[in-house]
Amino acid sequence: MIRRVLLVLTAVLLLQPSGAPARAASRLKLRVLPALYTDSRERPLSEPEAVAFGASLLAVADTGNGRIVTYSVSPEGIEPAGEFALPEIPYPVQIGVTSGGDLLVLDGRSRRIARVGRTGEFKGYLDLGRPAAVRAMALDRAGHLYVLDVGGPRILTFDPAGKPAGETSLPADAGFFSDLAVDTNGDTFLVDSVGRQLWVARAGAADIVRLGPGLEGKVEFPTSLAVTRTGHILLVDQNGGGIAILGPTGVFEDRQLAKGWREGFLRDPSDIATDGEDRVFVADRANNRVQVLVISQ
Amino acid sequence: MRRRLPLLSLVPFLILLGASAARAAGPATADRAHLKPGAKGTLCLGCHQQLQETMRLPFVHTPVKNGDCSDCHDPHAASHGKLLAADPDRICTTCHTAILPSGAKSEHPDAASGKCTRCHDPHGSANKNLLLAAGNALCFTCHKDLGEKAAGAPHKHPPVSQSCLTCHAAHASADADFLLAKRSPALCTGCHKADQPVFRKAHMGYPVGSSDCSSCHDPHGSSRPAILWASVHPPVAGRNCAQCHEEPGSPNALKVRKQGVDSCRGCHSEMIRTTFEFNRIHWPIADRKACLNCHRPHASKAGKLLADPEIKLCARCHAGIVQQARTSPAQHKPVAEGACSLCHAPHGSNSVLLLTAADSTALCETCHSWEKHSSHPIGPDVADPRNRNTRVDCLSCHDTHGSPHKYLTWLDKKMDLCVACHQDFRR
Repeated sequence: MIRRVLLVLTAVLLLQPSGAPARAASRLKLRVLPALYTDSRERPLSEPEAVAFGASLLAVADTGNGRIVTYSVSPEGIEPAGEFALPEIPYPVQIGVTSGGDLLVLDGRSRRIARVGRTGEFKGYLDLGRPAAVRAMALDRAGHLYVLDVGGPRILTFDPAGKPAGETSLPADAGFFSDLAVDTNGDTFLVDSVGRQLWVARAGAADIVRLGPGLEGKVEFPTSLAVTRTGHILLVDQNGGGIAILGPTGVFEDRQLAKGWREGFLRDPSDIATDGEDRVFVADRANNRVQVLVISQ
Repeated sequence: MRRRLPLLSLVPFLILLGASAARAAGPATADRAHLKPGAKGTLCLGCHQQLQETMRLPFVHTPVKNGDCSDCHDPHAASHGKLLAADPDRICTTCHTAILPSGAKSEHPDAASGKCTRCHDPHGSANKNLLLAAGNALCFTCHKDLGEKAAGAPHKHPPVSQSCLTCHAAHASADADFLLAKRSPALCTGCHKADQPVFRKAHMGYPVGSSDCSSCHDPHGSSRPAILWASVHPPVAGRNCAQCHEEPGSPNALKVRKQGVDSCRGCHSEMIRTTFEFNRIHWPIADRKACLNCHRPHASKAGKLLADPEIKLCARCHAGIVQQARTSPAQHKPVAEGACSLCHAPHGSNSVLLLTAADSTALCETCHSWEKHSSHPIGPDVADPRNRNTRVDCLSCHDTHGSPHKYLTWLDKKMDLCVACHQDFRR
């Protein structure tokens, strides 16, 4: 009898889907590293609105100071690289780093996207070819630019040379899209702040569809997102002062950090980016700093 | 055989269980009371003599009339008040099963929650359907403001004074909001024929027969002619529909001439220009619906043509923060009064979170003179020990929307708030 029970138990264990233990093991934790408070001249950040990573460079839209601050990122650490203010970008609110190291900066006042060299040389405004109300932007690995045009409402895509490469209409039954991010597969993820819902446009697909169940009760007002190398989605909850961690299928897994002043706490966080490895950067706006986190599993 | 025996032995038990569950679920029956012959209908009245008066009312609940008191009451003991044989919120629907259609678009909260006795007397009444009061008087006991407004309106909608039930269903509506018997315009065109010359003339020849009448008209009466809502868009009041729409005789007469914010720019150019010069705009302004995300184009109950009262409008998108604010034991007065725009600019601002002042201290100062506050230092020269890039300001201690603690503090003032910074004093 005992032998029969043991046999059944062994069979059940062997028949378990191999993904199940892996999923359990892949739950992410965010560990807090020292935050970034100043530029290379020890001048404090003020209301940083956006962060982006690319070409070993962390770019910060230091919105309250009306300038861009950059940091070089290496496995050894993060060091201030430079800072500049440009009359063409008086109020930077979104930022991206191209694979070549140029910065794409959305100016809140003119609502235009400027291309800037990493040391601050202004290279002109991007020609979107049509009127657009740009809320957010993202770059993929190949250098394509994805622009969230809430006026369209659509996602405009541009090739690395800046030529239009397509557009996808935003779904009419959504609330309000605040941000988008593109993963290494070319899938575009969007966050609907009002509907508290994640959406995805799979690479090559014409439609944007819901990803996972709604997030009501899990987040208050999510405004920004980033995708980790494992496909997890990190969602910044601006009003709730925390980060929600979602699995690759959009299912809520965990919520970390909370409202507060000390490191490891957030106040009105507004943007999030990853370095493609395990480091995560959060524009901790009301705390006037960039929080640095590291993913551990 | 050995396996079937235990199952078979369960059958009598299951039958008993079913019978007991059926008894627990529904009201008792007269048979269950095992009354003596001739006792039915008279025994209870022997003590409950006031019911004899009820029995003489024009409308008496059938079980009462038949003396079936034990249909609703248990004569010996009960788990519910008034010896009711079932949950008072459910007992009526054991007989009246079809009160609420499944999948109703709107339901009367009292009907949905089984609070039937808020409108009906379960024994008898002078009013039809055992109602506690006749006609609109019953509805206006709760909807008092509406009743007063309708009575005082210089321009009345006649069906309101006749009966609320002309337009509304009492319990639920299968496919319309607000318990309406039908959706607008189908409900309205039952009386107001859209193909009549007088109707067409009143609407400047625009084919509005398929439009939502309540986008312009207040169905309960108004201070304005044609029972228009209190707040009317001047082109509507001036009957200048063609200012925004195509000409009435054109194939797409109801189509607006321009889309999005451009539709409003013609008149509100200065406001729109100023808004788009701010560092930050309220994003709904930039989308395709633009101004119509928050404002109604024709007329509105709320001021400034807002689609809803301000806080309700803001809660459409910012539900979490409004919920937190309104359910907090300590509430910020502007939030309690629904005046979000006292602190946040609804169109655009140069400040973060669309604040109406440059920073939080300047904003708070517009109502609270902090120099007279307390002796705790605040301002740009006072560093916050918790974060070297922040300074002590009003928000260092206070949560602006709402808080569980007195004075809207983040933490309990007596214990945690002060030692959050002054850690040397932590016990």
